[in-house]
Amino acid sequence: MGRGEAGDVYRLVFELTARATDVPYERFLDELVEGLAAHYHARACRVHVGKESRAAAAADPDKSVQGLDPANRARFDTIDAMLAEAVRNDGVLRTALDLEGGEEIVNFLARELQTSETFAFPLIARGKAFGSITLYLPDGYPFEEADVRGLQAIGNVLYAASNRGDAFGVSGRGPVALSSDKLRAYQATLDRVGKVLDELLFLTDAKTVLLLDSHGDFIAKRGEDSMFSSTDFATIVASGFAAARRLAGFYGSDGGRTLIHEGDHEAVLVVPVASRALLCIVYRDHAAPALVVRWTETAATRLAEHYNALAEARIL
Amino acid sequence: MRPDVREEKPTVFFAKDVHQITLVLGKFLQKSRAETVLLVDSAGHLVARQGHTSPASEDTITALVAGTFAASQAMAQMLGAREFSSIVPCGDGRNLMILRAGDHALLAVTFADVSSDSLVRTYALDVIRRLEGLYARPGATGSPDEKIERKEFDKGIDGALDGVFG
Repeated sequence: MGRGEAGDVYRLVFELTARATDVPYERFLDELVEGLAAHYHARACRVHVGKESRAAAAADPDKSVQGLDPANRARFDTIDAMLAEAVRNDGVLRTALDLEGGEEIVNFLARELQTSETFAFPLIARGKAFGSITLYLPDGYPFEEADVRGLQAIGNVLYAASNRGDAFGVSGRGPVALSSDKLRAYQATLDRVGKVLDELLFLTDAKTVLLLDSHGDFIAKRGEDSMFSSTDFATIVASGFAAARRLAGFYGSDGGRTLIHEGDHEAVLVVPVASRALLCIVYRDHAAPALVVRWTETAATRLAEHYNALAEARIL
Repeated sequence: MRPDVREEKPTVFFAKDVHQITLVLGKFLQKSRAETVLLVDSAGHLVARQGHTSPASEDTITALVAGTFAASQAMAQMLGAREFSSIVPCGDGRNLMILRAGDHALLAVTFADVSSDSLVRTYALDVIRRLEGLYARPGATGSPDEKIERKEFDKGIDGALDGVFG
């Protein structure tokens, strides 16, 4: 994957975060820094989470950092920790030049690592910086808004990953004693459906994820408790989607597509599942809404694989 | 008995206002490079339009626009938000955006992907401000025979909705 345009950055983030729910947290961090270093052709990439001065994960693709003598290695670690701390304190993106003694630091990095630019991006979730990503680049890179948004989206996923616990076990609610094979099969499928919803909630940092059938019957929900009835909300979502789909049909749409309702601080995204169900996600301001759409469509595709089970779930 | 969904006071537009509105919408199309713009009252009656001819009965389109918008407002209300705008992806990479235009009307805009979402939204918000200025104008009155009242549309809209939803 080379450096490129906004689509490339979102694709990168999508691919890097897709495994966030499947692998242990530490491995996810390792894969993340390696992916970022490869994408930006960085000499080194580090991720800092929390107040630890030591990086939570580091990538050193061409062993530039590993090849430093112990004194210079220690100096590099100090610079990296200073950048991480400065960014975590106020949530503002920094370069090495912004640090105290910036010119000397830049010269050191250029001499020892042949890097001409160093960026530290804040990882922000719920309005607070909780860590940073530092990239040591061999040449100038024209960072665009998409890069910043993409890296911010990584922040949301990382925050959720660092607080997730064991939410993604297939049978998260513990064993249920079922006597019938058919019921056990239902339960297994429902657990898999629940897992897809849990993962979507985790990736998007959404308030609520709702699964309903296209007639507006509520099937399942994940996320925050709401003040309103999920059944009423499901009915409204389904009626709005039915009108919008018919409207889109008059303008040449050949089937169900994504429907987005946007407000000042929240948005509702509705995606059809196997043309019989709807996946609805309520999310707050997100750095990269395009990624939310992509994650949700992927979840809808996975749910469609359980189409028959969904129909049965409705009956149950 | 079928419940009356149009209990609120009828919105009245005068012919000369509609002429001005049409001019504003025409300017909007030029600037935003959108394809079609419809001004629809909140009950689903067409007030003014500019751009390409609609692919289906306009009564049906406007009723569906109002229906989609009503659902999005109900969602916004349940979530404690002020209001939502909706984006409906259509065929051939086109999108339909629905926004509130003042207290009693909606703006529905179709645009191709080449015109960016944010560009269309920016110009649409400008149009909405202008339209609100027109509604609020103290001299916005006319002779009774100039009035275009929405009650005369009601039967037609009911028929269109029955045709769509059965």
